Amino acid sequence: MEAIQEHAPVPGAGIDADDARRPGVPMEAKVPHPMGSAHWKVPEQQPDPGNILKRKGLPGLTPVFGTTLPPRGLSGWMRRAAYEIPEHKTSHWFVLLLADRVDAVEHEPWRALPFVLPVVAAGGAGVWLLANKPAVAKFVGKSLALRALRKLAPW
Amino acid sequence: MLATTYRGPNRVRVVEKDEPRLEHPNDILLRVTRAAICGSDLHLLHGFVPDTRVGCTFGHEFTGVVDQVGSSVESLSRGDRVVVPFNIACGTCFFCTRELTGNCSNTNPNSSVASGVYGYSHTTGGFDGGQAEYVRVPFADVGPMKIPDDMTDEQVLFLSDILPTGYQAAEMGSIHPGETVVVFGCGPVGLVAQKSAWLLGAGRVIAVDYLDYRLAFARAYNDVETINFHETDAIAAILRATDGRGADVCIDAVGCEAKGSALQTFFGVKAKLMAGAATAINWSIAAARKAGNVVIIGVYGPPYNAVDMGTAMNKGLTLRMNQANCKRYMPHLLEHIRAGRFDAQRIITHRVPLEHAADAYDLFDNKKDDCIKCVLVPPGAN
Repeated sequence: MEAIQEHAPVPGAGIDADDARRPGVPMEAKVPHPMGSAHWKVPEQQPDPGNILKRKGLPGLTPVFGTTLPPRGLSGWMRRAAYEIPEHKTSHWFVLLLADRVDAVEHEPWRALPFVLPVVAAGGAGVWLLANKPAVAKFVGKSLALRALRKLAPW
Repeated sequence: MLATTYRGPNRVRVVEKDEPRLEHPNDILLRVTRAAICGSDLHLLHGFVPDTRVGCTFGHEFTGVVDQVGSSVESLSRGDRVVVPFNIACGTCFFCTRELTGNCSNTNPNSSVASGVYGYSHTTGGFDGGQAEYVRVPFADVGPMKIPDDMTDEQVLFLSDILPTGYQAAEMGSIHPGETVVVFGCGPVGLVAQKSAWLLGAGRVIAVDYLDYRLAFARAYNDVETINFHETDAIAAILRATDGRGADVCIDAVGCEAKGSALQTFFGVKAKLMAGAATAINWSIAAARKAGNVVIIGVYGPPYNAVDMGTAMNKGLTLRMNQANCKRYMPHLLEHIRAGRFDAQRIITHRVPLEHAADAYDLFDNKKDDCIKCVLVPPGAN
């Protein structure tokens, strides 16, 4: 549904129409100057607790940083690996996203059950079929053999 | 102290947590008095932002009272009431000195994509947020603004994010007097962008959403025309409303969880094969007139989205986007609040005790009870 309405003038309409009234015009301040009440040229460095991950290529930690939740466990290992990959590579971000899911499971393992149970069930059914149904085992064996042959002789 | 903590996708819980401490000479420790839940917190909640660690505390829109002061802090004292911009900025780097505090390069060792942000994953520096009783505020001489004695915390709370973000969105549209502005999204930032478009001289403002209660709120709050894209083809309606030419300025105030495209939703939101759905960007591109301006203020995580760049290029559009550089807008927007041109408090539909933050997230996330904006009130805060 489209609602088109006639309206009275909006209070303050047009008050910032002039660029001089717009705080973000131009986008970059023409004359660089410190913001707020900053009273340093280079900020002091926050002490390094030794467990902060930083992006690839950054020579040292930034003057301030968060110290919450240092990496730990499998997700921590994955995050350390991700930060070894430059952030302009997609894999950096996907490894981090995957580590986030692992982190959630590490804290509450039962959350993995909806994913783990079907995989275990399917795997168990496959093993049972291979062990008890010769026709299935023969078919799978033939497929694997064919695939190996194609690898050896791709033509 | 009590703090909201992330427990994995779609789960938050309020727990007892160690109080933060001063870690840098220019830190302050703030006793939080109000903390809002932002639409972008939902992207964290839904697992869209990389390196969101279990146990982190969200919250980048807050006010509070200074409780402890670092040794080098000169502009604040214990007991001062302050509102804190969501960007953590050093004030003197290349970007800060150009007033681009949202791009500060001295506050986030994890990524170069953004400055440090409170409670917004380790991708923005790993700082805890303000949805707690206490929060650490770095570079206290740069970001926080003292709240005038005659004003309440809630009157200025949104100077922390949604007011500067919505205003900057409209400003980046380079609106000329009389122009037509379309704002996709009637959430809190969209509402502010609509109001700002009027202040910047728009002749016509059109709001697009799919929730009737939000569209009704936009009409009442901002006197805008509205389009419900569940009931009509929004782009066709905008073209009809602009003699087939398209809008002069289109603003995406939705971000990565936009509704409206099954394909984008499947690949971006459900399968998470890209950083969310770029539907609002593509609709902005489609609805803008040739040589018009498209502004992106909705949040998208890295690494990529399916955006229709071909159409944008062929139409000669100007695309503008950035995190809000809150600090430069705070005095100007305070003036608008004082003059009654922004009544941001009216956006607050729900005030919830911090202890019930999980319920507040449920309310806000699932758009229950006509929710537009939730504000958390820590124990003991007036």
